[in-house]
Amino acid sequence: MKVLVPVKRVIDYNVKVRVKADGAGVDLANVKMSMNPFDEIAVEEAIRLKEAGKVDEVVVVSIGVEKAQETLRTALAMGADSAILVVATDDVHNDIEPLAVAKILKKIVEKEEPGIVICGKQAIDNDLNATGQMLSALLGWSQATFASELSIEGDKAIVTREVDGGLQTIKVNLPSVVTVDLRLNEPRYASLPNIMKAKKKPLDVVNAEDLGVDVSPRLKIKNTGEPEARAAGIKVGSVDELFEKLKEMGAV
Amino acid sequence: MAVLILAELNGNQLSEDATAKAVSAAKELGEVHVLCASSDCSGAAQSAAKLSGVAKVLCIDSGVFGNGMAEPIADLVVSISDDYEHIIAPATNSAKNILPRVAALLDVMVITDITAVVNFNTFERPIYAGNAIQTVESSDQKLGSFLLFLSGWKIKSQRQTDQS
Repeated sequence: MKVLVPVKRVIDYNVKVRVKADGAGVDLANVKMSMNPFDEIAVEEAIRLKEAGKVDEVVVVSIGVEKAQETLRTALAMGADSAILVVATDDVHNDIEPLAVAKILKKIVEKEEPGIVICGKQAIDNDLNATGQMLSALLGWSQATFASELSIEGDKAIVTREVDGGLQTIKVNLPSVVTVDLRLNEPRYASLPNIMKAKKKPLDVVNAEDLGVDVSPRLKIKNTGEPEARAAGIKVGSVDELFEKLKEMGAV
Repeated sequence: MAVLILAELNGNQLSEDATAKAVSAAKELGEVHVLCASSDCSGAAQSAAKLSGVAKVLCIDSGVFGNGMAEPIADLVVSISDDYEHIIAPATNSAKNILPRVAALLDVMVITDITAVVNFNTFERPIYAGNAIQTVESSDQKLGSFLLFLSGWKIKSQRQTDQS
């Protein structure tokens, strides 16, 4: 069985986000970019499944700018077998929406025929949390979101999900789309020999147009601004005073 | 046109706080209908009917929906979506599991974690883990499906009138 892992190139999670003064978005020029942390967890899980003999092949796919090749090479260095890059834009500021991404992934799934798709639950740039669910819907597959544990037994996957106020364990029929949460695993670092080896692994490049998918956005971004700064706190002298203040604010 | 709200259910009980917040935000967009789908959920439907601003409650009592699984609930929402322009849910994990699936089946984009309603198709939402606030306008003709941030939502037009 093959596993497909979509990965996204996003601003590195350590980088402080700078909002452009003209409201046109977040400055991504000359900023360190990395693999979306949730996707890294998905890649790690896929590699662990391969090491456990549950799957035979790990294919990673990225959709976006040509530079996403670097992100795919990182996944290959971690242990993925091959990579596909779908070039959908030439401007890094042009975010491809989850609906378009899901449509492209559907085409890739039809070609690669994986038994399971493992993806990050959300990207840390647009925070939309939608691609996995949308892909599952378009394919008519089962879905298991926010996984904190995953095991494959025959033609079923057993997934522990992080739900509101607890955990839910479900069994889904394969093929399935699984989206992963932070607690699933801790991704490995790629070793130098593996980074060298990754350069020789196969990486196909295709264009989104060639797949026949319209990637034009449905959402128009009117403005991007800084969040309102938090007001400074105040000190109160006694419980009574605290109660008064809370009353004034209408909190009690 | 009416707005459909996916009630937040905890088992077969209504999570009143989350659902009520979604209702009060959605009131500005149209007549509010609430969907309760679970097993043995008539109690939840009764509670939903008591929320201020709810015009109609759709109660679908079936074991199929009992575990809150996304696949059957998404199909159900799609089947009644013709009557609605907006489909809204509180931004909980269970709704985040379901609504993007609904959106993909209807070929519309989902807008998650809305913190403010600017007008019927324009919303504010945080990106980059809250380090920036984006104002987005949906160009989907027929239908949008949205998730509302649980706390701190506000209706912008109303807030502006309050200040003037």
